[in-house]
Amino acid sequence: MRVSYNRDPSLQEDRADIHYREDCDQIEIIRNFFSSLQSITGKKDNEVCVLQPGSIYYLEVVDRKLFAYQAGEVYQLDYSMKYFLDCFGADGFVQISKNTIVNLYRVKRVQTDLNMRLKLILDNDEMIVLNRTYKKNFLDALYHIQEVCHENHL
Amino acid sequence: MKIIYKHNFFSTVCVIYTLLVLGKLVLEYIVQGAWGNYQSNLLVMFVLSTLAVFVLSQYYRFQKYPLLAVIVVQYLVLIGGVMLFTWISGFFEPLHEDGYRDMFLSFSIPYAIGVIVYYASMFHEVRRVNQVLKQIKEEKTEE
Repeated sequence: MRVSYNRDPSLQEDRADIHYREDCDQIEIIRNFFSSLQSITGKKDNEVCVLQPGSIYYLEVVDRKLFAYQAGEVYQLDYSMKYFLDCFGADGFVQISKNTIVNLYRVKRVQTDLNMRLKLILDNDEMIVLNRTYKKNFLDALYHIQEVCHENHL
Repeated sequence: MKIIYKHNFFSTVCVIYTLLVLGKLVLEYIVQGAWGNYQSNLLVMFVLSTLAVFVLSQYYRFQKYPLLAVIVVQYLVLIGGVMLFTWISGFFEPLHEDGYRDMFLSFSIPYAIGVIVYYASMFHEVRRVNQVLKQIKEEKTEE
């Protein structure tokens, strides 16, 4: 396998493109390696598990502990909310209340009521409430993702 | 040093216009001793605008309360202030027999229009957000 490193200070972000003819063990190792860079660890029943951030629907701080909610599983993370947002904010995670972060890619739709409470319906039909204080935060992140998606498509 | 930008241009015009109008009222009262309906109406509008802006400026304090309750309580506080102001102004000059009703309508109708516009804009925004969410999901699926 030919490997080349190109240093370019003008790049917006570091990137690695893997060009391959067909799947093989080497490509699988590389794929696992890059996945591990993005993964986080969570605890459930005293077992430590590796989680992919994309599989998390939302996170909530309960009794000063951060919990990650997947479709049906809940894991405790050893991160603070701020640290998690710093690391994964660019991956679609946005704060929607004092103690909740949601994965925008897991939001199916938004509903509102007479009190203008915005309810986020997730892909697993679970509902969480978007605090009005964080509405701008949520909308900014959503429109930013829309722009990025649009640019990637061009 | 540039002090007037695009974002504060209109508010600067409003401040200068208000100061000029209030200055004119005071000057007319001092120089000519003039104080009639025209001056009173302008002063009432200034007081009402100040009251409305003050109440709206406190909106951020009520983010945790249900919006409908906030709208109703804000309305009650404002209409109470308007009626109090009308009552006090009755000590200085005679009120028209429909004065209270006119003040009630003058305040309630714009407030109701403001609430309707706010609700409509929120529902419009929710529809737009849902379209964006759908679009993002479709593009993610294509990847």
